Order: sequence, then C-alpha cells, then structure tokens
Amino acid sequence: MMAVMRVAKWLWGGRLCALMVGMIAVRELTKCFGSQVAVQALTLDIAAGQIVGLLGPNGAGKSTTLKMLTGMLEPTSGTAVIAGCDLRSDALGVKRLVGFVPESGALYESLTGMEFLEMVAALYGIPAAAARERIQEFLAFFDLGMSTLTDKLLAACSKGTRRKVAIIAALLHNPQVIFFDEPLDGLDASASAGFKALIQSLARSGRTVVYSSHLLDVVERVCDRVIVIDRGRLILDGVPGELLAAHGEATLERLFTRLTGGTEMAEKAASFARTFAS
Amino acid sequence: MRRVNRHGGGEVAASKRALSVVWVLAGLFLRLFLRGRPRSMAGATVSGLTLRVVGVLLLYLLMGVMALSTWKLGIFERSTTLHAFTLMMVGMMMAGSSGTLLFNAEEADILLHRPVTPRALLAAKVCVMVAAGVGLALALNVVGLVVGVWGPHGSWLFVPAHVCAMVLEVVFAASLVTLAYGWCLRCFGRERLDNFMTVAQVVVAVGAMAGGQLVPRLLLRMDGADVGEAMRWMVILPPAWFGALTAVLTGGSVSGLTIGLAVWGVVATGLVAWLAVGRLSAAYGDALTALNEAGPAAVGARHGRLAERVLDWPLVGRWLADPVERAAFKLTVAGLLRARDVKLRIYPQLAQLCAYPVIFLVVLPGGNPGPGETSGFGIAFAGAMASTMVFNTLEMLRFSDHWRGGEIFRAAPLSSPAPLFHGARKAVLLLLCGPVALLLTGVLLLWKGWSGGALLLLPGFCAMPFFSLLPGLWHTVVPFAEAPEQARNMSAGFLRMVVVLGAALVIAAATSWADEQGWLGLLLIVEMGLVFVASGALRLGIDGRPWPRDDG
Repeated sequence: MMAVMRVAKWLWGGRLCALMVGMIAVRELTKCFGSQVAVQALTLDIAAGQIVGLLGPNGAGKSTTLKMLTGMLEPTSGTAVIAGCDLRSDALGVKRLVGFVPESGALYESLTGMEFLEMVAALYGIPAAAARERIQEFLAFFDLGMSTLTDKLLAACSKGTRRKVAIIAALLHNPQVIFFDEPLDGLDASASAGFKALIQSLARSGRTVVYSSHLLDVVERVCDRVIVIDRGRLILDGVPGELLAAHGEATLERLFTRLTGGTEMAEKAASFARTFAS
Repeated sequence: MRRVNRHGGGEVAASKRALSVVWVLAGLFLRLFLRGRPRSMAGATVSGLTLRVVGVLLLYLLMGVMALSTWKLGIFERSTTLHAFTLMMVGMMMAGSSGTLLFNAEEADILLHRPVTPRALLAAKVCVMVAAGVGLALALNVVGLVVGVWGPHGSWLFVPAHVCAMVLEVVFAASLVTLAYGWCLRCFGRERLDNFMTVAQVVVAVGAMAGGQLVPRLLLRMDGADVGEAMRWMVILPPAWFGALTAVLTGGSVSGLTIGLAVWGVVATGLVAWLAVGRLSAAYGDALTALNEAGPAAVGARHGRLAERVLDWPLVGRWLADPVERAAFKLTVAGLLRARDVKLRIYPQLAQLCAYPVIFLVVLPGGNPGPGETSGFGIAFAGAMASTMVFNTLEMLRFSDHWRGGEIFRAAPLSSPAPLFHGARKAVLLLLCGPVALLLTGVLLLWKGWSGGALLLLPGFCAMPFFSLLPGLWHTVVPFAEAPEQARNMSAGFLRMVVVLGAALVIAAATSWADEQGWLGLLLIVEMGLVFVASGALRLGIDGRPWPRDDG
C-alpha cells in the first residue's frame, strides 16, 4: 500500500494520490516513552472525506496517536503517510497539510484573538489581507464580533470564545486533514451544533476529519467510522451502525464500555454511594 | 543539471520560508516576553506596556551609575569592568526568565503541529533574549558610555566599539544559557529534565554573578607587574574578552594579549551560538512536547516521604502542630522539590543570594580588603545576606504557573490566610535557610574558628525570624496562589528587596563596629530583644488579618 502511495504521489502529486488511495495511511506506528508503550503497532487507512471517531479510555494512546500524526511527536517505529507526505521524511510538509485542535485548547493568553490568528496565518505563509478576509468569514460563522478579537486579550475571553479561536486557528490554512481532540469542550449548545455541521461540510468537500472525544453519542451521530484504541492497541474499527449490529448493542456507549472493561462501573458506583451515605 | 537548479531554487525558497517563520516567531515571543501573561480573566487588556518597559530601563540606567567608579581607569580596565557588570545583570536576567521563555509547557500544543521546526523556535527565542538583553545592557551602559567618551583616555570611538562588544556579549550570554539547557537535554534526557534545567540555570546565574564580582576585583588588584599574571586568569573570564574587543576597536590598549582576547571573544561567541542553536536544537522539540507528559512517579513519592519524615521529628511536629500549617508546609516542600516553574524561579535567584556570602567570605577576609572594609564586615554581611534569603524566597513562593489551584484556599473554611503563610514560612526556614546557615557556620568554624569568624554570623542569623515574617506585613502570602506575571509587574517588590538589603547592610555594619569595640555580646542581646518584640508585633498583625475581599 505504501509503495502504491509513493508511486501515486510521484505520478499525480500528493492531493490527487490521497484522493485515489487514502488520505491517511498508518503502518505499524509505535510510540514508547522509556519502557512504557503508549501506542503499539497501529495500522489503519483513512479515505479522503471521511469523519473518523477516535475513541478510547483515558491513557489509551489517543492523544499520543494524534500528536504523532500531526508531527508533534516522533514515532519510535512505523510509518505514516498523510496526504501523500511521509511523516518521517517530511514532517514539515505534513504540518502544512493538517490542522489540529488539541485537547488543552492552549493559546497565548496575552495576545488578542486577532493577534493570535494573524500570527498563525503568517506561520502558514498566508498574506495578511487574505488572512483577515478568512478570519472575518470564520467570525461570521461562529457569531463572534470583531471587537471580541481585537479589544480583549484571550485571557479575558470566555472558554467558548477561546475554543472557537483554537478551531479557527486550526482551519485558517484550509488543511486537507483535520484532527480534533475534544473540540466541543467549552462550546455552548448552539456553537456545538454549528461545529458539528461544519465538520460534516468539511468532509463533504473532501477534507478528512479525525475526531477524538469521550462524548460517544456525538461520535455516533457525526462520524462515518469509529476506531477504538485501548492500551495503545487498535481493538475496534468500523461503521457505527454495523459495529452495533455485529456486537448486539444498542448504543456506542454500551459497546465501548463492554469492550474497554467498564461494565462493572455501575456496580462500583452503587457500592461507593452506599459507603458515602453511611 | 535542471534538477540541480530546481533543487537549489527549492532550498533557497525553503530558507526564505524558514527565515520568515523565525521572524514571525521572534515578533511573537518578544511581544509575549514584554507583555507577560495576564493574571486574571477580568480586565485583561493591552495597556501599561510602555510604562513598564520605561520603568525597567530607568532602573537599569540608575544601576549603571556604578560606571562612574571606572572614571580613573584605562580603556581596557574600564570596558572590562562595564562588561563584567553587564554580563552579571544580563546573565541574571536571562537565567531568571529564560526557563519560562524556553520551556512553556503549553507551547507544544500551540505551535509544534504547525510548520515550525524546533530550530526556528529556538532561534526565535534566542533572538528575543538577545533583543531584551541588548535593551537592558544599553540602559545599563549609558553612564559608562559617557565616561568612556569624556573620562580620562576618552574617545568618541568608545561608543560604537563598546556597543559592538556589548551586543556580542549579550549574544554570548543568551547562547550560553540556551546551550546549558540543550546540553542538559542531550545528556540527561527528558526524564531528568526538570532537575537539570534548574541546575543549568543555577550554574549560569552563579557564573554570571561570580564573573561580575570577581573580574572588577581582579582588575583593581592588577597594577604594573601583576598585569601578565592577571591576564592569564582573564583568558577564562568572558568580560575580559569583550573588554579587550572594545579596547582594540577603540584603538587604545592594543597589544598581542588584548588582540588575542578579543579574537577569542568573537570565536567563542560564534562557537557557543552555533552549538546552542545549530547542534543542540534537535532535542528541543522533543523536550517541549515532553513537558506536558507525566513525569516519573517515583520522584514524587520520594519527595513526599521527605516532607513526612521531617514532620515526624518531635520538635518539628510540635512547631507545626496546626493541621493547616502542616498542610501548607507539605505543599511548600512539594513545590520547592517538584514544581518545574517554581524551581526555575526560585533556585537561580537563591543561588545568587548564596553566592554573595561566599564572595564576601572569599574576597573580603582574604588579607586585602578594600577601603573602609574589614574582614568582620564581610563575614557579618554574609550572615545577614543568608538570613534575608527567607524573605526573598517567601516573596517568590507566592507565584506559580498553577496559581489557579490556590482558589481552593479561598473555598476552604479558613478565616485567615495566616496559617498558610506560617506553614510556608516554616518550610523555607527549616529546609532552605537553616541548612544554608549551618553550612556557613561550619565553613567559618573550620576556617576561622568561633571568635574570629562564626560568631560574627550570629547577629545576621538572629534577624531571620523577623525577615521571615516581613513579607506578611505587606501582603497576603499564600503559597503558589498568584500568577508569576505579577512578580514581573511589581516595582514595589524590588523596592522591598532594596529595603531588606539595606537592613542587612545595617546589621553587618553594626556587627563589625560592635566587634571592634568588643560589644558583640551586648549587640546580640539588644538585637534579640528587638527581633522578639518586632516579630511578636508582626505576628499579631498577620494572624489577625482576614482574607482580603478581592484578590483579583
């Protein structure tokens, strides 16, 4: 598969090759921190235009996987090709093609929103005028006033506004692949609905979206495909409806709980509540 | 051939792109460096920056008045003294602020998934350190430049020559700080990064300070026949390299040795800069990403046991009987041992404070004290400086990157923050100041015995309880409950430190005088009485103070 991608890239260029073969191709991707294996031999392919839900319990290796696929962490072994760019040999190329909203939603809080977004645009080589125009479009979409972004430092903005700025910063350069790590954290109901519609539109326009979240009902509604990781290994991969039918579960939450060994939690909670009451 | 050209063109384009990224990042980091992070959500606006910058520059300009003491010196001696002072002040500034600039834990999430290489990131940060350093160094050297032009052997050429050498010196300092971190990263890996980052910063801070103190003293002792011998020492002292560069560029004091020193200064700066940004930048990106990863659990457990063990000592247990004080004690110990930002903020500054007594012990009693100075004064000042450490540490302990965690104290049913202050105070006294005092006493006992040395430390140490309560006089001291940027904004904090330093000088002068008169015992009794009364009054005021209504 990797060889096919390389030939395709040579023949037609990265974007076309990704459309034909797959936007993300991961082979035996492994990351170790000392003796601890965070991600173990992860292999998967994601096609262009797909919305993929990346699920797993805390510490399963989701964030490490995302950090490797966005070029933030160097894999211990294995390869990944994103939109025709090899992560190992051209990490900078990959970074130009991907957008990422990290779980922390970290921003430079002593900048205004506009200063931050203009800085991000400059890093991707977007001319200032074009960047301003694009930012205006995003502001209109997220119902944000320009003054919110110019008059106040990000520290003074609400959590929702800061999250919106982080999302705009991830999409500003029109990336081919977008990774979201808990993107709805801090967004109100209306902004969340708008965001879900946005990622579906992005997927329809050929962008690939990888969506990591603990909100399983949202993943079930929004994603075309679900990947579950536990202890660094891929344990489930498929279309939500088909997976539920195959495992005989009514919801993704019940299936996830069963697969990741969380079925005894209800019992534990009941027992704990009794102790607490006494 | 065509392919070669295409590749060549690609490389040029890539270089241009990389430079533009460095430029964008340097602008960003300079803005962040000057602005700092706002403390609270409310009222965070873009203002007050110019005033703050002007205030800092004025302060450095005032400190530069010391250059008047170089009026009678030759060009080389004058410029070396100025470079020594500059390296000390700029080096200490860099040691103090480079940790937070180089290792912002959130930065990986903001920047490392964007088309930014670790080398570009590091280069941009070094540029900012250099820009800030040059600004401060210029302010510090304004008086020196005036002396260099209008003083004896003065020349207009002194201005461009000294400024050139000064810029090179700042590049050297910034690169050296970065190199120290890079070297630690490469040698010790991310697992032990926290500890070695602190060590690296301490070494740089002490080195800058010791260099700044020792070089002028070497120069003062250098007269006529001693020049050759002193010059040999100066080969390893950076201020001498840059002083020689100024002298050579000015055209005064040109000799084989000064030319050699000047050339070595230029070569060393280039080498250090290349090593810091070029060779060791690869590990930087990994380290930045690793900052958000969990550290080794065993370290936390070991430190946890230390606090418990200390609290198990019978006398300490009685001293810290209050459960809230005990909790604050444990929190303070944990912060001092584990919190990266706290360690980076506190230990380099403490190391400088510790270095002062050592320099005074080594230089002043050594048979050649300066005019008006006696060996007794040096020892007494060392003791007084060691005891002011508690004040400075408590002032710094108020700040933490995790200051929001301090909200838990406001939520807890505590009528006053006093027990939290006392817990922190006792931790600093017991684990930092006590050992330093014992160490100084031990050194003096071995070196000079009781009557000639160690006894002179006692008046300084006696004031320690008073200094430990002093921060509570001015504000509510709750450990790790204020944003670190507040520390940067406080000119009042600097004034308080000056007042405490003045108090240490008064104690040292009184001790030295009483020792000469044979009244040391009497002084100790009077001082203990004064400290008892003053501490009691302070304690009453602190214990009776409720939480402030609005802490921001």
